[in-house]
Amino acid sequence: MVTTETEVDQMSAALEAGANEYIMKPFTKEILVQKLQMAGVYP
Amino acid sequence: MASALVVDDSKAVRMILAKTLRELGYEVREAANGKEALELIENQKLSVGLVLADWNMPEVNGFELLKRLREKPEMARRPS
Repeated sequence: MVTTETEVDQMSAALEAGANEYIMKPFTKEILVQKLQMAGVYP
Repeated sequence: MASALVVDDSKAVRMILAKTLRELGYEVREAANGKEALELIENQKLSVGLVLADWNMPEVNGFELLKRLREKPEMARRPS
């Protein structure tokens, strides 16, 4: 996976500020479901 | 029912995300930026189990929204 420095900085800042997960656009429904499951909020 | 708040300044993104989350079984509310999200949560006492927020937004961006929500005891450990 290739990400820019800005994206890495944003992800790091979000997680440090208390975000449970960080999703980069564009993302698929499958990725969203994975992130929701990892965050423990998948219904 | 699981509840979610979608926060994005793009109406198209909000619509797609809200539709997807509803299909997954969430009850979904929408806000166009962090300021609107805080208005819903603070003034209208909206209680949600999940906040899905964009990073770059006018007024109050996703990062500021996250920090403001984490300052609230009831949202301190809520996934977002």
